[in-house]
Amino acid sequence: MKEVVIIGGGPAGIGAAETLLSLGKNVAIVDTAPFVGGVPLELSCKGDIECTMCHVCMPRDASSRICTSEKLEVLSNSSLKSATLGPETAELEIVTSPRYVNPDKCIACGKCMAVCPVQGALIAPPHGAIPNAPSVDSELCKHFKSRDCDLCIQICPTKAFNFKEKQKAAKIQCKAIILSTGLEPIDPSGVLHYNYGLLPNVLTSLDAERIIVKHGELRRPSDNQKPKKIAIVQCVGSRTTKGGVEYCSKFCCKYGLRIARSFVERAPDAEVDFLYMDLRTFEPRVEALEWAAGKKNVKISQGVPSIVQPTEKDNLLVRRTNPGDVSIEENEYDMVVLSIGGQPRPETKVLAAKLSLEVDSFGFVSNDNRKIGVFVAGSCKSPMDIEESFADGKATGFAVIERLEVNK
Amino acid sequence: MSKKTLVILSDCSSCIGLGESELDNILSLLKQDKNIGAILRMKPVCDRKARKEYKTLDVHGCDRAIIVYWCSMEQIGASITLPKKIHPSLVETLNMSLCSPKGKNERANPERLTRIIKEIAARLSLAEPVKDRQIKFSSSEISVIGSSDQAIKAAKALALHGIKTKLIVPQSLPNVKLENIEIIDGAEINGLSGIPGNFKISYFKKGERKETDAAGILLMSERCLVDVRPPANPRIKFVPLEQFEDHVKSGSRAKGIVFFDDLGSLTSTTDQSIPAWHILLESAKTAVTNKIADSVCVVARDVKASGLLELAWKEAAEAGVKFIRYEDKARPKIEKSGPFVSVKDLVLGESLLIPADIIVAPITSRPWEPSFIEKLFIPSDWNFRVRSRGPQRGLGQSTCDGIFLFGYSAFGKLTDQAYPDLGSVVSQISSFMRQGYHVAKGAVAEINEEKCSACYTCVRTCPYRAATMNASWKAEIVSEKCAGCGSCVAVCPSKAIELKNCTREQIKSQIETSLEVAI
Ligand SMILES: Cc1cc2nc3c(=O)[nH]c(=O)nc-3n(C[C@H](O)[C@H](O)[C@H](O)COP(=O)(O)OP(=O)(O)OC[C@H]3O[C@@H](n4cnc5c(N)ncnc54)[C@H](O)[C@@H]3O)c2cc1C
Ligand code: SF4
Repeated sequence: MKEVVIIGGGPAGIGAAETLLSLGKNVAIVDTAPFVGGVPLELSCKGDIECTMCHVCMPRDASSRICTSEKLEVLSNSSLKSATLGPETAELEIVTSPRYVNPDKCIACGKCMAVCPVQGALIAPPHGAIPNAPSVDSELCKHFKSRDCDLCIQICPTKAFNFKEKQKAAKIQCKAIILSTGLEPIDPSGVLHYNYGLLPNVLTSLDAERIIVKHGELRRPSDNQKPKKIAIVQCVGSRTTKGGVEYCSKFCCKYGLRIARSFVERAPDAEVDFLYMDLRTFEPRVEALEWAAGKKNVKISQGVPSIVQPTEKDNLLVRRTNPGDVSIEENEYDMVVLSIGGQPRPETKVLAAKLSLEVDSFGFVSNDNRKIGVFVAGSCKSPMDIEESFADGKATGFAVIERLEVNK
Repeated sequence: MSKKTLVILSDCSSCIGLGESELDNILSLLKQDKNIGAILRMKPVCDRKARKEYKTLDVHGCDRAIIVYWCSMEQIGASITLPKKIHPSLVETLNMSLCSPKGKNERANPERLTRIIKEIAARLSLAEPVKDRQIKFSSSEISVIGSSDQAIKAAKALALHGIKTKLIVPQSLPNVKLENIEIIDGAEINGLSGIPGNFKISYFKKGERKETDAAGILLMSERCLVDVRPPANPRIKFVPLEQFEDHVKSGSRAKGIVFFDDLGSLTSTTDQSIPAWHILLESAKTAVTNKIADSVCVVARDVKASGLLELAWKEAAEAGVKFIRYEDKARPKIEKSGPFVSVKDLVLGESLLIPADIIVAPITSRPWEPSFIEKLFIPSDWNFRVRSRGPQRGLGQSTCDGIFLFGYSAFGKLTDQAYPDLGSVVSQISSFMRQGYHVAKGAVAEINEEKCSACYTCVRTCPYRAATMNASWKAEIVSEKCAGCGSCVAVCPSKAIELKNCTREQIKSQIETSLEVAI
C-alpha cells in the first residue's frame, strides 16, 4: 500500500515526491522512461562562468536528496494500465517492462558500456538519474536478435544482468494520485522551410543540448568542428498553425538566451545571432538580456527566418525580414539552432481519461479531481519552465498532504 | 589516539573518466601518505544499498574520513552514515569534478586529485571533532509579515496545517477575523533578533514598543499601498481589479472602462510591478460581453503574453477589447477636463483620447524598501534584495534557516505563477516546523577581540547575518546562526577571525586557491 503514486517523474513529479517524503509519506514514482528525471536529464548546465539560473540542476539536486529515501519506490520503464478510482483509495495496475539490469546489484561501474558492440543498445544513466543503472534496449540488443552476444553478462562484476526478465504487472493501492507527465519536445520537421532533418547543421535546441552534454561544448555534426557563427531561431513549432502548436511555449525564449550566453562564454571569439518573434522572457531579472546588451558578438534581433538553405561546406544561408524597415537580410552561419517548444504528450490524453480528467483542445489537462484524490502537476497543465513545474509539483504535494491529513 | 584518515573512493568509474591503471596509480600514491590510514574503493554513493553498508565498514583504526565521489550528488556524499568511531565533523566529502580544471564535463586529473586528497588528510589530522548542536524551537509559531491578500492566503494555509500563525500587518484591519490566526494589525516592524526557531520580532503599535516570538518568518511582498490612491479627477471612478467582479454584479453602466497594467504607470513610483494578467484579461472580456461599457480598453506598457496567456489576449481581442501600448517615456495621463485618459499609442504613433469613467487596475506588489530589510536584519545582498538559496531562489528559502520568502520578496513574478509558489513555500514551512529543532553548526567563526577594529566588514559580508557588532564595539558572531562558511575570515582586513574547524566548503576553496597558485 502506497499513500501517493506519482505518474511521471519530471521536475514536477520530483518536487511533489520531495514534499511528500519530507513529511513522511510513502511514495511511488511511475515513469515510462528508463530513468526518472524528465526532460532536464538531457539538458546541459548553462552557467559556464556564473550561474544563469537555467534551473537544470534543480530537479537533479532534488532527486539526489530523495533517491536514498526508504519510503520512495521508483518504477521506471512502467506505465499505468488501468485505474479503479474510489472515494478513499484507488487501485492502479502498473505494467513494468523489463530493464534486464538489476539496479540493486548494479554499481554503475560502466564496464558493460565499454564492451557493448551496438550503439544505443545499452542506455547509460544520465547524470542525476534514478536509478543509477543502465537499461537495455531489447530492440537493438544483439542478445535478443541473434542470441550470440553476452559480453555485458560476462564482464559485469556483480552479475546484475538478467536477460530472462519478463514484463511484470502489479496492483498498487494508494490514497492519492498525481499526474505529471509533462511536455514532449516538438519535432520541427513539420516546419518545412527550416529543412530540419535534411541539413546536418540545422539542429533543435535539444540536439544542441545533447551535444553540449556529450562534448562539453557545441560542435557541428557535419565535421565535428566548433561553430564560429550560429543563429538561434525562436518560436519553432510554437505560435504557428503550420507544423506546430498555436500557443507560446513560454520556456524557449529563456533557455534560448541562456544557450546563446553559454555558447559565447565558452567561445568568446564566436558570434551568435538570436532571432526572435517576440521576446517573452518574463522575470525582471533575466540577466541574459542585460548581459547581451553590452556584447558585440551577440545580436538580438526581431524577425525569424523565412528560409534556411545549404551553401558550401555545409554552411547555412538564412534569409529573414527585419520587421522594422521590412528590409531583407541574408546571413551565412555555421549552425542554426531551432528553439523548439513543448506539446502535451499524446499519452497524457489516455491517462487523463483513465483518471477521469479532462483535456483541452491542445491536450493540456484542464481540471483535477481532488475529491477522489487525483491531482495534476507541472507542465501537463500549461507550458511551464523547470522552476515553475518544480514549484507546482511541491505545491501539489502539499495539496495532497492537505487531503490526506487535514480534510480526512 | 589514532589520527589517521580513511579515504573512501567511490567507485563511480563510469562517470569519473579514469581508467583502471590511473586509479591504481592514485591508490599507490595515497598509500604512502602518513596521514592516510586506509583506502577503500566502494560502490557508488548514490547506490541506496551501498549507503547502508558504509555503516558496517571496517575502518582500520581510522577516526576521520574523506569520501571522494564524482557527480554533484553532494547531498548523498555528505549524509553518509559512517561507523560511530568516525566523528561526523571529521568527515570531508570531496567532489572530484573539482580536480578537473575545466569543470564537470572534463576528465578527472589524477595528480590534482591525489594532491587534494593528501592536503585534506593533512588538515584533517590536525582537526579536533566539534559537534553540531540541536537547538529546540522555543516557539511554535510562524509569523507572516506582509499585507497583501496573498499574506492572508498563506496564513490561512498554514493554520490549516495546524501551525500556529500570526499575521503582522502595517495597516489596521479592525473587521477582519480569521480562524486560528492571531492578527497583529497596525504594527510597524522595528527589528528582528534571535536565532532560527527562536526569533523575536519587535514592533510599534500605537507608539508603544512591543515584542512577539516566532519560530520562523514568512516574508511576503509589500503591497503597493502608495499607488492605491484614486485618480485626481472626481469624475473618474477607480476600481481595484480584485473588486471588479463586484462592480460587474452591481450592474452599473459606463461610457468607457480603461484597464491599466499597473498603477505604477500613472504615478511612476514602481516600474516592476506585475499585473495579474489572467484576471485582467478575463475581466476586460466580461466587461465587453456583459456590455457594461461602450468602450473597453487595456492600456499596457508591456505585453506579457507568454504561455497560454497569449491565447487569452487573442480571445479578449476577438471579444472586442481594445489594446493600446505606450512607451515607458510617454506614460498615459488622466485628463483634468473630463473623464478621459490620454495616451500615445506606441504602434500607431498617435495621441489618443480614450473615454474613461472607470479606471481598473491591479493593486500590485513590489520589493521591500531597503530600509525595511535593514531593520529586519535578514540576509540580503548588496542591492538589499533578500538573499535566497542559490538558483532555487523562486522556491522561497532565504539563506537563513527559518526565514521564508514569498512573491516579490524573492523575485518578481506573475500572479498565476505565485499560486503554486505559495504552496511550495507553505510545504517547506510545514517540514521546518515538524523538525522542531535548529541545527547550529559546530564549526563556527570566532572573533579575536583584540585584533578587531570594528570596521563592519564581516557584518556586511556574512550571508547568514551571523556577525553583529556588540556594545563594546567589537564584532561578535552569533554561533547559532553561523554556518562556518568562512566568508568573514576571507574578508576581515585585520585578520581577526578564525574558524574553529574547517568545513568541506572551506577546505575545498582553500585548496583550490593554493593549487591555483602552485600550478
Ligand atoms: C530543448 C529544451 C530545453 C529546455 N531548457 C530549459 C531550461 O534551460 N530551463 C528551464 O527552466 N526549462 C527548460 N526547458 C523546459 C523544461 O524541460 C520543462 O519545463 C520541464 O521539463 C517540465 O517538467 P515536467 O515535470 O512538467 O515534465 P517533464 O520534464 O516532461 O517530465 C515528465 C515525465 O513524465 C514521464 N512520462 C511521460 N509519459 C508518461 C506516462 N504515460 N506514464 C508515466 N510517465 C510518463 C516522462 O518520462 C518524464 O519523465 C527546456 C525544454 C526543452 C524541450
Ligand atoms: S517562449 Fe519565446 S520562443 Fe517560445 S514560443 Fe513563446 S515567444 Fe516563441
